[in-house]
Amino acid sequence: MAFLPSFILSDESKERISKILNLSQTVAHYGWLPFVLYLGWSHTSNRPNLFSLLSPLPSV
Amino acid sequence: MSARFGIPGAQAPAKKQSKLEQFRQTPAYPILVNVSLFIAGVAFIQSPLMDMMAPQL
Amino acid sequence: MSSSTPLPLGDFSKINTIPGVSPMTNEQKNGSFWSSNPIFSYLNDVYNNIHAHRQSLSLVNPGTIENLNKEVSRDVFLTQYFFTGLRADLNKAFALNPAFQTSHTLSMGSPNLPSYAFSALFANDNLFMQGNFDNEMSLSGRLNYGWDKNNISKVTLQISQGQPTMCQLEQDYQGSDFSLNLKALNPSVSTKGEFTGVAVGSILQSVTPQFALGLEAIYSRGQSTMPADAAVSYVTRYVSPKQDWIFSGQLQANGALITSFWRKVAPNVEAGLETTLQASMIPISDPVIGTPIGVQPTIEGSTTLGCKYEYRQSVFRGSLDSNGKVGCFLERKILPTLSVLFCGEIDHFKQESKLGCGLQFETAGSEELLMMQQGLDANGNPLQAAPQI
Repeated sequence: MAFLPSFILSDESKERISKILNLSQTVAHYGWLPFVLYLGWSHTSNRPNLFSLLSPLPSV
Repeated sequence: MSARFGIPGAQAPAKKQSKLEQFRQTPAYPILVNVSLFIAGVAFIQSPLMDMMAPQL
Repeated sequence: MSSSTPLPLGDFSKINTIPGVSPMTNEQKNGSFWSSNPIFSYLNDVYNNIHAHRQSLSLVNPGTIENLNKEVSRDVFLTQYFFTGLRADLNKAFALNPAFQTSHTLSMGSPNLPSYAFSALFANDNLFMQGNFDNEMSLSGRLNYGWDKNNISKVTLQISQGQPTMCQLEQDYQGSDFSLNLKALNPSVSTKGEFTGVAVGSILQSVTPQFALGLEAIYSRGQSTMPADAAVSYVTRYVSPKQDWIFSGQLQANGALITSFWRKVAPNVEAGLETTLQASMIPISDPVIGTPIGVQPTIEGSTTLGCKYEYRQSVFRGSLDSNGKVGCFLERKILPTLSVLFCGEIDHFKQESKLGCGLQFETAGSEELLMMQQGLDANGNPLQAAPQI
């Protein structure tokens, strides 16, 4: 980035970049845990349903 | 210097500080205390005293 | 070669050569240009010699700087485990390999623990992923990915509402006798091409099979308008030949000197000692006017002695501190599915005390794990050894 003078990025594209950053932060904020749950769910043999995944009670 | 010519109350507390009290104000004091505590701790942990604190199962 | 043995004519490979210049071996002839030309073959030889010499020192990987005093500060001391108030953990394991478990944590009366948190963990041979979400909508996540047995990439995320997001990228390389670690915290490049954030590089190198030396360099720049900061810390670690005691020392750039000592007293007893000396500058203000007139160096120190006892059903940790704090942490498994936690701390100098009580439930998410918790295998027969869940 050092060779790029700052005026190449217009205000519009700066705004777009910050929008993308905000969006990716929101996705990470709310998508991280569901993604971990999905990974675990898809790798276990018995494929527990959503309720048993989220409830703290023993499911068997 | 006698206290008669000094301002009463101003000089006296400073004089009461013993050598030990003065030493406690210097940065060397916490260094000395903690280094000696560390050495004492290592000696304690390596000593047979620590072995005796292990339960004989 | 002795002169008495007749040299068979025609066999040129037996003729002594000028030292340092040797005809190419078959191996080198078959190699590409890079390994067959004389300059590079010389460089390769030098590299191979150094490598062989390094191998002959029989050095081992010293571990990472992050784990420099892990034995004392994370295993023996109770600071990692201490909590106040009441808490309950409901862990539910779905599978052991790959490991997958969820956990609900409820807590009361603690200033730092959230009142409810849900976390999930997934780990297989090269991926570890963990997330924690609490009732204040803040997320903390970790992702470790091992590319091979030497290279691990790590991502740590911390997102909470109303606070700046923290993202840390980390790369770990573990060589045969050294460890290299590169970290970047909130890295970003401004439009002017300036780096902002914190970058940390560290190396720990074994010098002898027991002794390792390392250093850590930190470069930080909070805002692109502010001047950057850089600092270097030095670390050292000595492991005894029998691996039964470890000494480690750190001289940090902020003026802290931390030395720690650990010993395995018996197979189930460990003892640890840590001394911290923190040097800092405090401003002195004029006693009459109240304006600052200078700075004064001060040194604060504390020494902590701790021990850990491991029994078959319980773990006990105790610690004693030169600032007058006495603390203990007790964890006892009363049933295969239920553990009780107790921790307490008394500060004798400040006349304060803290208390924490907790319950840990282990529940099963699958038939197989339920049977294992009851000491049976999948077919309902008793297991030979007690399961380690």
